[in-house]
Amino acid sequence: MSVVALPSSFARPARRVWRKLTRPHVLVAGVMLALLAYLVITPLLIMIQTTITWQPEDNRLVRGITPGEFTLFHWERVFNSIISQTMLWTPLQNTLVTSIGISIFALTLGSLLAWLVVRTDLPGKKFIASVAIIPYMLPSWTISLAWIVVFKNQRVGGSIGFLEALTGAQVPDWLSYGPVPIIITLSLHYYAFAFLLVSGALQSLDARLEESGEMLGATRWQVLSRITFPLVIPAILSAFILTFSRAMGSFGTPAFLGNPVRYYVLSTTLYNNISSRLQADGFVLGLVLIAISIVTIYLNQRIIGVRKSYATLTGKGFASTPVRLRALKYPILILVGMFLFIAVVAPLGFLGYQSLMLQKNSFALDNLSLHFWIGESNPKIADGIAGILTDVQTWVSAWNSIALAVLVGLITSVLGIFLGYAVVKGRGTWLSKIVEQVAFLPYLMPSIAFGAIYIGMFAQPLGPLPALYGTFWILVVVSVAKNLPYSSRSGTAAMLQVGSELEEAALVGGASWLTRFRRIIIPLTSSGLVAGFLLTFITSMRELSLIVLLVTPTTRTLTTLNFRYAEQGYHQPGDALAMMLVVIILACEWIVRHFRGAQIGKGLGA
Amino acid sequence: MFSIELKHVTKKFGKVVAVDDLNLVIAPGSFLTLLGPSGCGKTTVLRMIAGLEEPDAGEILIDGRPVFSSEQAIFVPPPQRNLGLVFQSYALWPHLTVFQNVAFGLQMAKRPKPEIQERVGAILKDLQIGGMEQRYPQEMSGGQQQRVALARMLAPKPGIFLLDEPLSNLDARLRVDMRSELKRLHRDTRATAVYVTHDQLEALTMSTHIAVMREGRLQQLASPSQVYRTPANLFVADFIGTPKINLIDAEAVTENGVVTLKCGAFEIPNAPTSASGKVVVAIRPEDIRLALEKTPGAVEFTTYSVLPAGSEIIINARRGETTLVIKETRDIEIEMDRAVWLTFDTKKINLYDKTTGDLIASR
Repeated sequence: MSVVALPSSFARPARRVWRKLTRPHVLVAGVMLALLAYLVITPLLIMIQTTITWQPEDNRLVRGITPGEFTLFHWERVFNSIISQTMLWTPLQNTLVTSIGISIFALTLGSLLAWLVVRTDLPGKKFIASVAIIPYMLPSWTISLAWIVVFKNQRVGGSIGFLEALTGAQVPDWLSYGPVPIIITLSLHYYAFAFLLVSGALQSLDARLEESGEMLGATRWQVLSRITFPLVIPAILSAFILTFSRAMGSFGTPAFLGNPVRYYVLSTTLYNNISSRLQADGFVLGLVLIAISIVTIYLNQRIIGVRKSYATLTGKGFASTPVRLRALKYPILILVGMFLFIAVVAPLGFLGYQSLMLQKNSFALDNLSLHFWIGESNPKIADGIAGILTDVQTWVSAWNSIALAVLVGLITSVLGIFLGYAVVKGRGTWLSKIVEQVAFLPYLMPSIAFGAIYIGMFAQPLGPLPALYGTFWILVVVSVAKNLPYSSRSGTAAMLQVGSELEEAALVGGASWLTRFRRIIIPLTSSGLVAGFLLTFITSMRELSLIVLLVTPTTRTLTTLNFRYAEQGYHQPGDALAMMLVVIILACEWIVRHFRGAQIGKGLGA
Repeated sequence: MFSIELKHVTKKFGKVVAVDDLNLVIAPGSFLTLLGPSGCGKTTVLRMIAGLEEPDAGEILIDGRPVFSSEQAIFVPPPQRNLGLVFQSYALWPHLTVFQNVAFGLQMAKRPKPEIQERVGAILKDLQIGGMEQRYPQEMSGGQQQRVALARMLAPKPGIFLLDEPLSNLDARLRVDMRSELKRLHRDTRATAVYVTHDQLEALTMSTHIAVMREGRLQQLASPSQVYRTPANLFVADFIGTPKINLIDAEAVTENGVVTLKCGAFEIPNAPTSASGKVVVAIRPEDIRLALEKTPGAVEFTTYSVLPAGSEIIINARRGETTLVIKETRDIEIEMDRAVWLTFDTKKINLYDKTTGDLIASR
């Protein structure tokens, strides 16, 4: 045995390990993991740390403390003090009541509509389906603004709503503000989400399973209740949980419809706390929201985890004989038409109408004017607010909104491809699992809480990034991070479709990793790339809860500008802005879809 | 022409041992088929030869040169191994035309454009898909896609062909046609081919050598006729051949220097073996002689089912607890539930050890 033998025998395993570590997917996964730790884990830790240390602003409440030292003061204050009732328990109760109510209504409406569109011979199904998903593309609070236009009573502020103006009778408080309108308006938004999830499940359901039931003598109703329904139950349950968790984190609607009557939910309480510089207390509420969300998602996994494995639900779509509605066909069509009118057309109509009203409280035709669209500033009208199209603030915000949405869409779809690559190529390894799990984390964090985290995080320079707070870039970073679960999912799905053999064929053919990525993987995943882009583009365009805590006057977007108008009681310019946002979103959606169809139709064929 | 050699190759996936201490020598220019049921590790072997999978231990040599060695820490990446691979799924790139698919390897090798044009055109023509250069793979039939996959493998003129169940996605008829074409192709190119399949008929018809694998271990490496005639153990005997070989539990008893195989319901006298104790008698369905009349030395059975298949008749016959399968190539009428007389030619019988399953006496 010579001494020289040692390095060479040592080198062998080292070379092997080195080769393993330098495999492309391991490198990509490593980089992605570092990025995720930076964007997701660090902020969460900082948030927790803030809640268990004394903050400078606590000097106002307690004497003789040293900021930075450990304390359970904030947790005690939120959970076990005289203000706990107003700070935590009442909002928590309100949150649960509204979120559960919203989930139930949204699920019922969405599932019914999905069944009608996917499984019956209802006329005009395609058109119904495309109109039904419009609410999903719009900000969740558009309908609540329209609600105010119609049902406002004199309780808050002088003006009255359309209903009161029309009938002369006072609209009762419970119908104007509070839980009932919150549940109704958000249900009219989230039903579209449930509709998408459930119709997806129904489409992938093998019709032969239903036909087998029919062959054995079951009636249509028996097939529906004993075969179809049990098979889509996992999808319905998970749609319920997902709706619940989203409704819980929504901010705009409870702010518009709850705040005026001091009906607070956790998200609005969190916002109020942070606005009044009680950051640590707000963060405790944020952690409570995250905890509830984690528990519901965990329950979701537990309850339907086993059932999810129905192999039949993963197949492709199958042609099936639609259920004949017979005599009910046209009555149902009329009902669906009315529903879509109430959920989609009417809100936009009322918003449009109010944006044209010069005086707040007159619905008369002679009160109509384009002032809040194109008028110059006039001190006599609405404290001198100019029409939105002449106000430079609008254009700055619109530019911010579009720039934000485009940047976030681009960054996340590219990140999605890399995440998908790391997850799919490393399938079965712990690295791949960790990347997948961590990328999913932002999903568990309600938007408003996630935004709150980033205040603390980027107040000072952190790692390679300077202090981003107050800049446009913090909006980009937070939106990218929050959308990671979606992009990693769509990237993974796209990558799974590509199949590893397509890349291996190029490897055997002599292509380097970069060539493989450029010539094989990117072109093959581009359809997923565009779809992912569209999804995040729309999400960022309509986002309010996530960024409302992070914007400054110069980085305002259309949504936050709208929120400001609404907060200050300027309804007409707010409505006009909402209309503008709706138009921009629908136009962009149309353009991207059009462009995408033209692009991918050819090369990929089927 | 390249030789391929695997020495003590082991590959684990987590705790599952996919390939266990495999030794295999593939002579230059031969057509070796890795045969076995799904999950036996045959595709893993192919992927390790290709360099798509790295073994945990052992050595792989191509043309005498190590391309993998755990001892010397050598790993040669796939492009430098001079081989071509056809995947089971074909793995044709859907966003590239047929021409672009086939030209890919030549482009990676930086061949001049006119040469690529010419070579691709010639190969496609050879494979009878000339003129389809500008189509996309999904605009072609399954058989044509298969040819494109072959063309893509052939274009850079590799010395080794690796084929992973290339015919399994074709319909039955096309599969038979492609067998002869593949065999011809191998003959014309004189490359060394490694072919993975679970279809024993493909293995028997095309290969010069068959390696039968089970649970990551090599069971037998021999010529197709040897594998068919003298399977090395009960697993190989059972796996190869349709209809299946007859396996009968028996007791070998020696009386006066003559071994008799007592098969329960009947006996086979004068067995050419010195074995004694519990054995398994293996006899191919076509090696049992069937007579419709009582024949001296024959055993009476009753037909259970009769399945005519044009050129042959498959008969299941019973006696007591024993059911035998017989392949009859004469054109005769046999009814179900009738008596038949079977003769067992002791020269065509293989005997296996009941406990180890290994061959103890062969014809």
